[in-house]
Amino acid sequence: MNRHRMRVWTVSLLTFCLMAAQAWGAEVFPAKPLELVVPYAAGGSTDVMCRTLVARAAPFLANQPCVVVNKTGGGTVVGSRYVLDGRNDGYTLYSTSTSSMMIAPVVNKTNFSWRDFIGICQTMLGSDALYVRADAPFNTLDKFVEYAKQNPGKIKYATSGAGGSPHLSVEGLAAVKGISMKQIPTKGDAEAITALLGGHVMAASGNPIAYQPHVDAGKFRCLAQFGAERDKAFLPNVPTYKEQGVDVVVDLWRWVVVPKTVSPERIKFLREAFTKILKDKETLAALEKIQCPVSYLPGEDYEKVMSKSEAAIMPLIKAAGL
Amino acid sequence: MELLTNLFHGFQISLSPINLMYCFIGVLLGTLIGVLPGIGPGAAIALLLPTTFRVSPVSAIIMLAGIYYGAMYGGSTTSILVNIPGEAASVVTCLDGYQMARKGRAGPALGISAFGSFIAGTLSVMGLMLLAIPLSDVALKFGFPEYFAIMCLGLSIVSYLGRGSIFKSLVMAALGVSLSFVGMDVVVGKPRFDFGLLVLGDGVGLIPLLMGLFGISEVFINIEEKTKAREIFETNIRGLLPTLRDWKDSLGAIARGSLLGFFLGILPGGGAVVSSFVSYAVERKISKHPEKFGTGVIEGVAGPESANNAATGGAFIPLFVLGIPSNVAMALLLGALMIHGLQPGPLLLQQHPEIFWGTVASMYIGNAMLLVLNLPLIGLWVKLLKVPYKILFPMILLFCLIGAYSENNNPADMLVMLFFGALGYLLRKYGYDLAPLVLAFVLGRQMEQAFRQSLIMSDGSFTIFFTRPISAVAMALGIFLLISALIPALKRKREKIEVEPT
Repeated sequence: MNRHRMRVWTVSLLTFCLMAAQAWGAEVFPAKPLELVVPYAAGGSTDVMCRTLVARAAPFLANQPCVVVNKTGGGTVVGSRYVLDGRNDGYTLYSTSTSSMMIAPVVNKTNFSWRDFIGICQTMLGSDALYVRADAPFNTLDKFVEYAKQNPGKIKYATSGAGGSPHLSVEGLAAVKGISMKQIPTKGDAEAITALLGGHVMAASGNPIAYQPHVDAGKFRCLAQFGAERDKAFLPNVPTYKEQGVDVVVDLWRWVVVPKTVSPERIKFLREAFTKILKDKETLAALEKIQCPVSYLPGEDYEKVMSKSEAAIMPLIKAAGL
Repeated sequence: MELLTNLFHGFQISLSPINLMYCFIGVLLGTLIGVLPGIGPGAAIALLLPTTFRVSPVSAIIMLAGIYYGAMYGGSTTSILVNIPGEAASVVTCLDGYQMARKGRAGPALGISAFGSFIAGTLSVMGLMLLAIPLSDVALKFGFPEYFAIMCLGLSIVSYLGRGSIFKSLVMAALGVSLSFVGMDVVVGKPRFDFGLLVLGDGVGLIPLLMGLFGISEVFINIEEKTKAREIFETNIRGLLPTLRDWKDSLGAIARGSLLGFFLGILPGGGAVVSSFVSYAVERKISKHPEKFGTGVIEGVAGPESANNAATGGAFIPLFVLGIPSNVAMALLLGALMIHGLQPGPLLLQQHPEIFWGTVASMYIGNAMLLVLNLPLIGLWVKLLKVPYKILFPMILLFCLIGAYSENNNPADMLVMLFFGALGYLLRKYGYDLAPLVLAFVLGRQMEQAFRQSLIMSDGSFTIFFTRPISAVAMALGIFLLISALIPALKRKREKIEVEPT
């Protein structure tokens, strides 16, 4: 046989072998790296948490690494669409939160909702909070509300984004107490904090992780947190809305989900794998280090948690006029 | 005295072999990333973030910071050689830098760019060291009305950026501002002007816009001209380093650029991009020969390049002192600090001074390394001009495509870039300048956001822009600049300057 034909045969044989290997490999799940999609930019708190979560996940995922992929845009809609429109083979996981799963679909009138996903596990449970400057004339929530009643429309508060959970939580307070305040939306916690530090707004609402350093430095005071129970990691000494007589509850949870069309065996495998990941000592220690306390719930609780959250959030969205 | 002790301690940290190595890796990568059009320091820092997990926090920040200010050195290379900006902060360098290259003076352009960047970078680190805390207090006084006023001031500078009719510049600025409105509205949180396209949901991407308008259109124009057998200019390269005359002309520009860049870099949002535009406009305004700008004047390269490097020093101030990132790269550095368990914020300086001082000391070293790296490379880059265009332009197209894709991993961004490539080609053919469009685009969205936020603050009253001192001064200055540029143009009877489509 001349050299050319030999080459052609060798290449064809190799290609066939590779294809066959791929076919065999595909019977074991997972046989290639998995993706964890984060709908926020790299370096943000969600991104950092997710990277830490999956950094040591390979041993639990048949030694396949799990890689974080950022798909930003459209207020998390781009990320959600990417996951839903992709292959439903269980290799694409999605890190969601109250904002991306509950609020964004309603506010953006998308054609998907949390019902199109199925839960793998809950990773965190936290709460946003309301902050004012330490030198403000009101140092409790009641005094804040009192001031707002006497000066309608005068209080301007900054949030990390229109339609986000901090925005809805403060509007909920306004609706329940019958006060009027004006929201100044910004592009993120950093801008809102800057505005409050400079005294350009009287209050701000957002994620405690970003605001805590300024509370420690004595510049800010936290008036209330919005979850059902006190966040023991960050705000053990700050009363919740409910404790102060405000019947508004907005829990900020983070779940890992996949599209609900993924096969049941793969869902089961992922649920078991992530249960183990969230019990792994090294991973827990690393998450502790970045101040992301874990609050685990098994995937089976997805429907229950989501329904409860939806019931709490929908009236707030209406009250905020979105 | 305490300053010197702290600085000494910082040098001790940064001169350790491990940190020297990280500094070198950072600046080397940064330079390479800066040279590649479209791929900015943000993408590189995001990619390398995981590798810093197991490294000490100081080493991590030293390396990532090196990538950031290193990219500002490399960005001017493609701007000068092929009229394609390496990133948004190098757009202005295209205006005169490329013209200098066409005259055979690519070497001095690259040289003064490297030296200017070094001087400006070093000066801005000194500023960071001495003025971090007092300046951060000043920065906090800037609220929403002040941001709007500063941006109006920035926008009024478009009148000094164009080479042809000032009215054409204003039209371009209007187009730029309109383009910036596409995307997610900050105040209401709903997408607008996106034609239902998901890729436009967050607005027109800056990188696809730049790569299209400058990169793709440049390739189109060159292919068209070369098929008309245009004269090749690569053969006429005179000298590789700036002459004494060049230094004399540029020193003032470098000094002014450093100052402008440093202070503008502190403000969130514009930083390096806006300061480079402002520096160009300032140089043109105070020059004895403003009409020569756009034909290859060295001050037009020295000033902006110094400004964008000085802005990197300024950008670190809000990050280290307040824990507030002023741009994407700083946000990633913030993430890196968090991964290492350090809480960025006002207490970081007190609890972990070694992070600040170690990084500051390493920035001195890094800038020196960059100068040593970049100067010998000038000869190499200049040789690139000799590569036949038929080999060069596919590579340029490839890099532009990669650059457009790499920002969001979204293939649709490449289509956006091609659209702007076609648009850019048409605009240039008809003699419209692209620089005002870019500046207006960068400023437009933030301007609108600041405007609406200010109006919420003032309950709808427009007087808020004039009753607050800083804002009033900036607005007045902006209006003055705009009018003073328009009056001569309006007085001239027939203003028809034939501008060669470039």
